[in-house]
Amino acid sequence: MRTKYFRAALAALALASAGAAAAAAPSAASLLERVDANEVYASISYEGEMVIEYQGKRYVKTFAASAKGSANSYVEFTNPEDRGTKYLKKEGRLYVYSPDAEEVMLISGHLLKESMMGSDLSYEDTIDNETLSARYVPTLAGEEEAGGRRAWVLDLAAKRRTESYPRQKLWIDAETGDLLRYELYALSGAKLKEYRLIKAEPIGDRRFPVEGEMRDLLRKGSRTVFKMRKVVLDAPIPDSLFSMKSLER
Amino acid sequence: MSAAGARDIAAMALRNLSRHKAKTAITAVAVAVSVSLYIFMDGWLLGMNLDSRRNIVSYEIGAAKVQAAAYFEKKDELPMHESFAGWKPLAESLERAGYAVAPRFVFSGTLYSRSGSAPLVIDAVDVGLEGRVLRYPSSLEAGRFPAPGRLELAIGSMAAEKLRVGIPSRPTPEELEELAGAARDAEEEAFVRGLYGPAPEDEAAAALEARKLALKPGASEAELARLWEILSASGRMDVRISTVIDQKAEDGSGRILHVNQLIDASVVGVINSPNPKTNGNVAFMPLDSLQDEAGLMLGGKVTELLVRRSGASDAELPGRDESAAAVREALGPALPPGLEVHGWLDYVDDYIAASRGDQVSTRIMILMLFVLSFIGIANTMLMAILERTKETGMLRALGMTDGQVVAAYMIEAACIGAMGSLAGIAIGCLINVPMVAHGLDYSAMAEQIGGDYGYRITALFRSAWNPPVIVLSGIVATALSAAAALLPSLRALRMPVTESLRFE
Repeated sequence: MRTKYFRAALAALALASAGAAAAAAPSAASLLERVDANEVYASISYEGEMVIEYQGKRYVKTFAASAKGSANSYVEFTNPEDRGTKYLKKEGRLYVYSPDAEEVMLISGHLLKESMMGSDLSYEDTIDNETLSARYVPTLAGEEEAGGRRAWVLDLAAKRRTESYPRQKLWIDAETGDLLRYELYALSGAKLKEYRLIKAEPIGDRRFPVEGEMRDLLRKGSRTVFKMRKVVLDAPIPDSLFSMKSLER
Repeated sequence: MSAAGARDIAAMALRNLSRHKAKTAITAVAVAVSVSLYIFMDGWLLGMNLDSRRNIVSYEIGAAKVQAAAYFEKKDELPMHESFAGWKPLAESLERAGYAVAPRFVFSGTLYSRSGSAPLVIDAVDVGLEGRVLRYPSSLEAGRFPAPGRLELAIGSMAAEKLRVGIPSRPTPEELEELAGAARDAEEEAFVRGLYGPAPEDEAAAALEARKLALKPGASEAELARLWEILSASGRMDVRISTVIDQKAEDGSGRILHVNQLIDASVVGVINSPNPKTNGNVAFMPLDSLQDEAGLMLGGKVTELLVRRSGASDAELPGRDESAAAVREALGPALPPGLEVHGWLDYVDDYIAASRGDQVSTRIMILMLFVLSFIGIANTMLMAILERTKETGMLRALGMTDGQVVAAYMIEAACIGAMGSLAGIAIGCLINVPMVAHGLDYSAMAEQIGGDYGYRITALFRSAWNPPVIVLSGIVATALSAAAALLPSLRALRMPVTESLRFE
């Protein structure tokens, strides 16, 4: 009799727990929208630093960057070795100005996947600012711990066959909504890159990632820590900045 | 001038030759050197160009290509988004007209092996059809050509060495340890070690740290196949191709979208053909293995069709019936708008630039040699005529006309030129015999510069016979020698006869 009651109590507890968990688990779409709301901006200006560790060497690159929407961005390197190197993304095209060659070059095709300034980020990674919700179908894959935080795991499948990374896997902080970690996959399903959030800061009404580490898994023993300072979000930026004149100036 | 008079003048000129034997010999040697060098260089350049052209056609391009016009405009960028579908009806039309056709999808990527990475151009080919147009599939240094439908690669020998895949022919002791480490048991390890010995030229320097080993020349095909299997089982041949699939956006905006792709494949063969372009940073894999999402989502598209006349001889360059115009005509209305046919010469700007550059520089060099030789002849004749001023005055006093005097000196100079030319032709031909049969081995240079020097020759730079140039060089040298005597003899004739007779 006692056993019967005990079993019934256990079942009721389990049902109650499941109900509570179901109530706590947000939908995959809302989780992804939260990430988009935190990370996708109308405009951004910041001072950046890339610390690249590759083949036992360490390189530090500093730059000033501005971007508007997903169509326009402008980056100018300021560290002594690369001073004057500039990148401009305009109307979906990426141009680079090299002060040594005193020439503007268009980066297209397979070059977009090449490493930018020797880092673990590709040119394409750096010009991406479109909402994930518009491009991927999310599926909640479970709950895990990431970086000591409780996180929801999202599996993203590209809506179009032409998406740069046809699959992504995201770890989203269950409490803050920070994108703690993500993995980028090739069309074949092979993992290409891993990202880990180091620091996110509240900026306005959102939490914005200001420091993270990217690893290109094809480059053995390589990692790039990307830091952002003096971040200004959604402030007006003149269109003239995103012009060929700025690049050649 | 009568025939007898001409005979007398010729006899006098010949006698004069024997009067100044040393000067005659020295001047003739100068002419001989110029003529022989010209014959040698011309034959060498001709040989290099003939071999290069044959190797381009037989190993690299075929006689012509069918491509999208938009692709041809940007062909150096390998714009895979300018590919085209529906190539089979085109191939059938051409085959009915007597042509062999091979479809290809060309793309670039980075190949990652266990030991490193290298940027590569990858030709996805129809394994069954490729060999009907090009000969490189049978130029395997080791292994085999990829099998249809499998994610397998045959890569150029230089790329294989750089990426440390395939069977190394000259490993360092450290590399041999790596190879031996691939063995699954002691017997296999002994087998691997037994296939290598000291490289012949390094035996004396065996104590040097950088000494190299070499694959034993007597290694049989079965032994190499076993070694390949052992190394393959250890993962040495496993590679990953990192690339981007460029596709035009379906919204008609013309935007190019890029999809990251990483393909796991294995190297099954190493190509080492007479054309260095197939041996550099290039790989070949089956076209049908890349059709779906594990590959490049090709969906039957290709970037080009290679065309050659069926049964065409490798020794011959494409004739008129293999020209772009002939292929276009054979296709007729089957050639859809947007596709074009281009001849093989439209794809080898690097070779044409190298060849033209060499032709110009070599010919300038030879011209300088000729000029030097003929300055020598002019100088010899000037001295001879000056020495014979009194004699010239005597001949004129005895009734020889100025024309006869000039003719005598020019015949004398022409004879020196003819002797030098004959000797030069003989020496030039003697040098040409081994150059045509064996050539010069430039394989080390070709390897150092990655096979990218314009000419499509990997090792032996052979000469070729060019009879019209050989004969013409002799005739020109003789005529120029005769001309070299004109000015000195005219100068001598400006002196009055009386003064000539008193000249000391």
